Amino acid sequence: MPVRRMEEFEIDRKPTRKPAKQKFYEFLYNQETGAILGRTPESWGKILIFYAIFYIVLASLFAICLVTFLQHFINPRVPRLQLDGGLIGTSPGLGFRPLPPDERSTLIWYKGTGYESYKYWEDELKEFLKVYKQKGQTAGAGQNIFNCNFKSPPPPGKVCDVDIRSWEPCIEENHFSFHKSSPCIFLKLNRIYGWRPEFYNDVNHLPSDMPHDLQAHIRNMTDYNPDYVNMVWVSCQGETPADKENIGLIRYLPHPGFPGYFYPYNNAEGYLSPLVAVHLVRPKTGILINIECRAWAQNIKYSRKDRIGVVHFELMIE
Amino acid sequence: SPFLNATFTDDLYSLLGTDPVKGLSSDRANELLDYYGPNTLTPTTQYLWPRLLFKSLCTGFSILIWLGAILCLAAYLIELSTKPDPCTDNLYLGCVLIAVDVICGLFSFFQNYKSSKIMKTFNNLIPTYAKCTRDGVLSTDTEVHNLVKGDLVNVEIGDVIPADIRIIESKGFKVDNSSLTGECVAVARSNTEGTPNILESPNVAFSSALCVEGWAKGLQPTVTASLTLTAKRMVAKKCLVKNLEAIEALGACTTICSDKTGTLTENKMCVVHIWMSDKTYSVLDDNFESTLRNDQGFASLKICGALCSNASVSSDGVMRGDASEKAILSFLIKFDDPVAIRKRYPKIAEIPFNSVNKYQVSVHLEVSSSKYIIVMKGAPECIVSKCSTLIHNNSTINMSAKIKEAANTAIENLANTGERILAFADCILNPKEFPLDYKFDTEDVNFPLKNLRFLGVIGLKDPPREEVRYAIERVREAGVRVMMITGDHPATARAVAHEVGIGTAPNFHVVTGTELRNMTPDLLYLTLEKHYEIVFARTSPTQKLQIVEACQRQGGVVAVTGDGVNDAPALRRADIGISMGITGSQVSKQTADIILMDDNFATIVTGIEEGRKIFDNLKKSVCYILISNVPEIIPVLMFILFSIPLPLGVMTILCVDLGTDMWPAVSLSYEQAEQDVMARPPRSSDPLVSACMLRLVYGHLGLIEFAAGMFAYFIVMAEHGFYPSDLFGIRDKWDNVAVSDVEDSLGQEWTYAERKELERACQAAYFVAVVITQMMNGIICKTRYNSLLHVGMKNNVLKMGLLVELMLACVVCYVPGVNTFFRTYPLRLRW
Repeated sequence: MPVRRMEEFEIDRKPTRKPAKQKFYEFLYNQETGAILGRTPESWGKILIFYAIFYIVLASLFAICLVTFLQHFINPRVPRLQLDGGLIGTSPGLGFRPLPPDERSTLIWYKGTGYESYKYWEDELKEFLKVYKQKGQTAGAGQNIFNCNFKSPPPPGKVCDVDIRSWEPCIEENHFSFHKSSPCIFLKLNRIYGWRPEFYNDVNHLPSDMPHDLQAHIRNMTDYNPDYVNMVWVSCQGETPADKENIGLIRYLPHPGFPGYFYPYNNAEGYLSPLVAVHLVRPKTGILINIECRAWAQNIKYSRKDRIGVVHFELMIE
Repeated sequence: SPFLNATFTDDLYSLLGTDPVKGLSSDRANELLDYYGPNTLTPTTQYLWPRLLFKSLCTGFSILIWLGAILCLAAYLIELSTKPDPCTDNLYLGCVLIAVDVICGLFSFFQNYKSSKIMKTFNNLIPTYAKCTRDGVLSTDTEVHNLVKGDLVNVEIGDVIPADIRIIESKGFKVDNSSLTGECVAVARSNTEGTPNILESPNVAFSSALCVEGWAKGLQPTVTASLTLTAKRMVAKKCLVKNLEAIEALGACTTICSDKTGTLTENKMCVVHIWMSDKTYSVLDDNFESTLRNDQGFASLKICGALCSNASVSSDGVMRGDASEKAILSFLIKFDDPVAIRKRYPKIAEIPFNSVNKYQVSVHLEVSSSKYIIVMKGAPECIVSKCSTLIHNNSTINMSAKIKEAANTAIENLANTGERILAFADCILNPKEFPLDYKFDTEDVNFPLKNLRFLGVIGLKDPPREEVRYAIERVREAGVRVMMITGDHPATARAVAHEVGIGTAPNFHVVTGTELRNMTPDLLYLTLEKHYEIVFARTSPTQKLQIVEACQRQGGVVAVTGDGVNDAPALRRADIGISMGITGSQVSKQTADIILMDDNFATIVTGIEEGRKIFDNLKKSVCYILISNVPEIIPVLMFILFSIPLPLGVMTILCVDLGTDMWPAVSLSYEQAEQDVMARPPRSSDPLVSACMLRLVYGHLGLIEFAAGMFAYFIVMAEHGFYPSDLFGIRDKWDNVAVSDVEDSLGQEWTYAERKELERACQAAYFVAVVITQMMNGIICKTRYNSLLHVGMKNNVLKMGLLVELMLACVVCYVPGVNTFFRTYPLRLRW
């Protein structure tokens, strides 16, 4: 084997400059070292194995932590943090149905006479109320139904019935009265696990900002049956004086409030939120009406600005 | 011009309207000052501080931040005008960005301001007062910048010449023009015929040239520039860095081209060897003193040395005079008091040294015996030829040819070690031939200058600085090549190089300026390749530049030290120009990137270490900051791809980037150098952000942080009833203001405000998780090569930084107002 002799001045030879194209090809595959994309296959293998192991370990660590936490600290039926212990607090908000199709708006807008126009709202309500209508058919749920009243609250594991069929005219068959330009809007109180309302027990000392018609109504009802004091009351009105004028007569079905025996919510199988159908009997058409509905109990806070204890929506019937 | 050529300076006086005795009148001087302006160098353009401030506020990255801030504010204004209830996010964001920008700008501004202030103090090193005669009165406190054309200026030994002056009267006046020409030989200046070249004209002394010799008006202790500089040296022991990049470049430096005089050596002559009769004595030997205690030859040598010297010692021990004379004197002072000797032998006559004779001779009267004695000092070959006898073993013997040869060999040997050699001879005159009233004539010499008695030879050299050898050793360990480029004699250069460890092999390469002149650039390049240890001697400034360029062609990062004006091109060409704080000229200081305040090579080593440390620490900081990018970006991706509520908001991202991460990142640059920092080869192609680092940062640490953050996020969500499986795809409802009843996994319904509160809490949890992992990462980033246990937690700034990070995180989460600002939420311990 010929010994390669170091030539004098060989050191002077500068590395020849390679064109960019050749450099790129060399990057793809370097014949000298056998490197593909700058690494030899062996090196690639090593690094891939390393990263595979690293990520697997990282992911499994993450998963183990999460699963352990979920299984040992989290009850699938009971929230770990309840009421004031968590952020949900003790002041439930209100929700309304039907919800508009547009994400960000709370405007219920339709043409009073066209079926096509109010079909969406009707379908939306049908979908929402399906669970209330089908309660007898759904497995398990039906068995839990208990006919509650103020005298007989539901025993543990049972849930109270909400009978929406008798709420004429706010029934499906009547298109929820949308076609008559006097739509029914359904209100519900947000469920909060373990929340018990504190009722206004003394009907003679109702809060001063409670609408007078509601106050009168409460007194009427409690005169008729003192148990009705155990209600979370609901009132709706226009936001501005003009709205108040435009909104017209409001009827609440079945009562202007949610009966107290529905509470507390314990995540029982088949629980149905109590509903109030707000029937706007004759709202002014062709104008936008801002409506604000408010729930009344001693432990429901109210702030219009922060939307606490209140729900806001707009109605526009052409 | 008449200004230079007028030997009879009368017309000069009339030209300038001045008087050789009285000087200018002060009125005239003021007039001229008004007309010509102050006597100062035109300063480099100095920006006023508002402009500097503006510059540091609006450079590079900060412009981007400004743009972002303006966009944010504009968006807020648009929203304000169109919506009744605008979102304040943009306003907050804009304000935060502006605040960050202003703070960063102020930081860099103060940095600049400080260093320019230091530069200003340098400028003030030129003398502030000059001795100037006006109205016939000599005042010592005329401010230099008030000197005008026509002023009479007195310059004494040690003074810095305050202005360009024309010499009208002088005695033995020499100036060191090294800061202008780079030559360190003092040049004689007197009132003689000028030459057309003003730079070489011997009758002009230039401003800032240091007057090293001359007693134009007698010897008086004056405040010398060197004293000022010594004081300065005491104050600042480190090197001044003019631009910060230079120190970073210094860390990557592969080659140092060092000066010899002043940098490697002490720039101070001292006696190292003595050769007498037939023996060489080393002054540094321990028993040197005892061997020669009773030697008569040494006694005569001492007397001769003391008499043949024009250097003087003031009462406080400060010596003035020629470097080698000072060296001899300080050597003699260890054995005898030269002042006392001079008193015993008053000087009668003297022939001063000149380059033709190459010796100096003087006649003294020995007071005790009333005999005249002739003492002579000069170049050895010249002295040897003038001697016929020799003092040997306390007796005077004839100088045979053999002895002469032995003497010459000894002299040659000493010369080869790079020493400067002076020989001494004396002759005691016969009192009969030269009675006490004999008139000695130095013009027409009437006393013997031949057949003298040879006393011995003294070898002087400029000793290398003590710390330099170790410093060079360390530098070489660090893989940095050290070359010496000097204007000195090759033998001297070789000797010094060997001594300080630049050349370790017995026969390392020395290239002289003449050889270099005949080299092609390629050959120079080759020589540099071939010889690792190389010394350039007798080089000119241009050649210095060539050498630097050749080194750079090799791909090296070159640091060059230099002090003269002539070094400026090389300094500028070099990647790192290093000037000397003390001997360095104004120009070289202005050109240089780094100024060694103590002129010491060892400081360069500190610089290199500092540079590498800074680079290391910069990498650490960058690494640290990059890590938090991952847990900031992936949540947004998750938000978009999996439609989960946003785990980390914009404000929290900013809070991590610009708030909590800031101090630890900065404090990482306070890290001590790792132990092996000087044992590594200089980095050649190691960018600040390398692929390897990105892999580590994004692939490992970042993902771990992200996992930690998501874990915290999921847990807070799950504790409130939103189980992870239900979170995916919830975003549409979650972020919808209109939906006031989003159901969680347990059937609870959440209003928008409640959801957003929960989201804030989750973001805070995520944020805290990131902060805590970032703290861990801060500790991880502490080291690059050494293990943490090795390094320890000595960086107090970092410790503080981590603490502050934690505290800041707490403040952001818990202080009311601040947490609404940053969209976080007080995390409760129970969670």
